Amino acid sequence: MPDNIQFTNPEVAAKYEALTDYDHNVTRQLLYSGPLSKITPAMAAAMVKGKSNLIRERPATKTQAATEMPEAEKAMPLGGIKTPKDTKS
Amino acid sequence: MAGRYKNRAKADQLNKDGGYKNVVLFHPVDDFNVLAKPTPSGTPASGESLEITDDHTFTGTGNGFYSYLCEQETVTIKGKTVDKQMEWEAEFTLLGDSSSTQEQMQDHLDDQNVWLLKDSDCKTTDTYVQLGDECKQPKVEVTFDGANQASGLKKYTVKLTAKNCKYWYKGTVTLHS
Repeated sequence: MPDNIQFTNPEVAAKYEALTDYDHNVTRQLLYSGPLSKITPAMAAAMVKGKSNLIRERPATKTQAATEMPEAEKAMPLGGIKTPKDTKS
Repeated sequence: MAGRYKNRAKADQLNKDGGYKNVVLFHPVDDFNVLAKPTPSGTPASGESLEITDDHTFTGTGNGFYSYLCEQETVTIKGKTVDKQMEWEAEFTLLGDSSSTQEQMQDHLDDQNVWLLKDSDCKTTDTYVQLGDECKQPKVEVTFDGANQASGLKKYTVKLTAKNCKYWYKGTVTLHS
């Protein structure tokens, strides 16, 4: 099975992934006209907003989730905060 | 529908230059993955009931809107009132003749397609005029003029008649290839 197309714009490739292995010609008035693989970030965003079936935002990875840990969780001691109930023997 | 009226000043005179671009797009209504429709909000702004902002989508390799290059300055739309509804009539001319062209013209007479036309001021307008939706599609009439050797070009003139199904499409257009 062929691979889905790759975006040539690095900003688009970092944030979005194609859902098709065919390099469709796409156009949006005043925004972009040309092959799907070469779409601009603005075009990619517009297509995702328009619920296109050719492109989607890349799902967040586990690595990304770990590096983006909320500040409150970073401050949490290992093992969590002990409550009186936890310390009962 | 009194809530949808608004004042109209010079700034609202949009797309006023006559005519449409000499390329028309179409696709069979039963071959869309999703044929998007207007999704007006709870308190819709003026025009929202006719604006389509989601993308029409397709499945299949290379599938998308077919494109016809028309004779320059022949693409136009007119409208009139019929039984208290707007009836829209689009017309365009294709140059030349061939078995493929004739076959397609004959097929159009009995097919149900959704059509897109681009305003002639395509550098400043971000919408296509759409004729047809999931419920109603334009009727098609075709005439042919073979001209003669002294003057003129062979032409197919296509007339689309659409009652109450004209919209403003702002989504992505995927082209057939």
